[in-house]
Amino acid sequence: MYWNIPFPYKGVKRMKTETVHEYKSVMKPKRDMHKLKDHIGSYLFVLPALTFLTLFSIVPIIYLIWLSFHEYRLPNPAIFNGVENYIRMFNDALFIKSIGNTMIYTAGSMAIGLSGAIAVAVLLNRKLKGIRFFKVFYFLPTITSEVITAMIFLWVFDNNLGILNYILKVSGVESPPAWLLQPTTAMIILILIGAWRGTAYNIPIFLAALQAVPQSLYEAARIDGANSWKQFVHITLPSIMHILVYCMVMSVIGSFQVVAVVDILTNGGPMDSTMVVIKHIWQQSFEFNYVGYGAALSFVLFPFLLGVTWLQLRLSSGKDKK
Amino acid sequence: MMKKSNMIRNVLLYVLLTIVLMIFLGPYIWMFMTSVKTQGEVMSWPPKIIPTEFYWENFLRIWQETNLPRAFFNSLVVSVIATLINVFLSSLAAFAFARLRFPGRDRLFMLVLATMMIPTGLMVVPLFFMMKNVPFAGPDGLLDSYAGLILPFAVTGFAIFLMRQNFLSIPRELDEQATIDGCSKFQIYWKIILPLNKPAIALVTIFSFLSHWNEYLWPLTIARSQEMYTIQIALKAFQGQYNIDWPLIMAGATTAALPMIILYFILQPLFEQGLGGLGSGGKET
Repeated sequence: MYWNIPFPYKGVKRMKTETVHEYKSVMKPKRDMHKLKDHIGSYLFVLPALTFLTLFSIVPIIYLIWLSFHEYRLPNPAIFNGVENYIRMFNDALFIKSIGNTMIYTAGSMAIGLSGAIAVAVLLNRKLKGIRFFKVFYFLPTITSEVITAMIFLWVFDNNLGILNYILKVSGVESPPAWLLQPTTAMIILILIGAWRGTAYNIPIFLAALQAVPQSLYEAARIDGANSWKQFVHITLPSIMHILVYCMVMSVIGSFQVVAVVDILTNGGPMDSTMVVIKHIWQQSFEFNYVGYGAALSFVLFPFLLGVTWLQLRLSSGKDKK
Repeated sequence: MMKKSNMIRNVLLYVLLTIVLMIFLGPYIWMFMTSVKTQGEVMSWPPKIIPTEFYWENFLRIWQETNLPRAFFNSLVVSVIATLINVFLSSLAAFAFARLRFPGRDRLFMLVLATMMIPTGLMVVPLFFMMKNVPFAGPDGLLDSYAGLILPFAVTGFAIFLMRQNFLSIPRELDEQATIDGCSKFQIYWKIILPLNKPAIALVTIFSFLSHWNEYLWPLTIARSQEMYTIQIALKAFQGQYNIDWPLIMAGATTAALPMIILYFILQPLFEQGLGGLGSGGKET
């Protein structure tokens, strides 16, 4: 659920200043039955949604922390084991490796995906006949699930019958690599698929940002004799910087939780070269039945991803002040 | 002179646009073309892009032989119900956060914002055991049930946040006038705020549906039996089962991708606005 993460907004600051004095005028006068009834009526509007959010967002975090201090192997009940789960992590080479792999994947797919998205957005931000036709198809990967995407590319990169190796053979490569069976190429393919999805996802975001850049800036630059590249570096890039930072943060959050593509494409192999953190957690918890350990692994990653999200919220409210 | 260089530039741009188009559209074309081939044709060398004869049998086999229709139905049930819950409950809450005054409102909204920060991938372990240990629901709780699939991610902080942003932009005089005319809060919500915010509601509807339809990790965790698989999980299982029957696998992928693609083309303008808005900070609101 990539989309349900906040984007830069202007809400919180405004809301705070707006309501501080409102309360005093509303609350002070008389607290009669009517007022109380009025408030209860208001709470009824937020109660159902907040019940859902509390039950399925707040309670699980507390439960996660509790689980992480227990040994829990079904069907046995959970037994308190202190920080044993946390100590175990340090000796879990696969965990360390999965963090490394996830970071490589995140950095790679983000770098290619975001630069690709900016390039295509610049290309689309021109007045050309029929550009809408192209634009429509560029968004397709965003609405296609990771599972379907991975299945298509599994077929494209198949080493015997895949179309890619056919093209390579025809163009003279005698023995094209078995892409998904070698550690390095498997990771590269994974990164490219992440970048493919990331590019499509971010194109409309950058396009919207580009369209907000005042044309007068470019006209002034043209009069000064700046070429297209200079215009891009000195006008376009600074103008969309806040969106770029935002997209980077979103990419980190999204890529760090990659799992579906890996499951279909490589299942973590070959030789754990594409084992990613969420897959590792899932395996420990549900395949090997080390629930407490899986919880501890999840909890350790929490501060990291929360930190990134917090940074994003900070940056977006920082943008507000300008 | 000027004209000619312009034309060359335009041709170059169209070439670039077409290359990018092939990068994004090519895999889909290849998926579809494979899905209408016979197994023999896929094995033959050299491979043909377009099959000699369109072989629709694969889609029939998907319908008759596999678990996909059932999973299709499951995904439809889950996505529709979850979306309805989200749109209704989130708009109610958003209305209160945007239009009503009550003690603790800002704190509660902060709580909503906080829930948006929680990475869902890390919540799967505790949520699974919460669902398993739901009281009065049998030994396995809500595992392997529609309720288990739907409830945990039904209401999203994002939906509340997005709708609140939109509701705030409606002039307050409307509410005040309606109150004077004797409208209750619910009537204001139902008769004024909702009708005036149709685009925002449509956006939440589409993206809720999309995210449930495409969700992988949660259904993978909680759906235990084949009967409860959602489309993504069934696809994965089916891909393992039919291993090298590529035409059939691609027919399955096409079948699963099609509803979203059709929805996307029907609701094109809405999608475009929504996708761009994911980054523009709700500028258009």
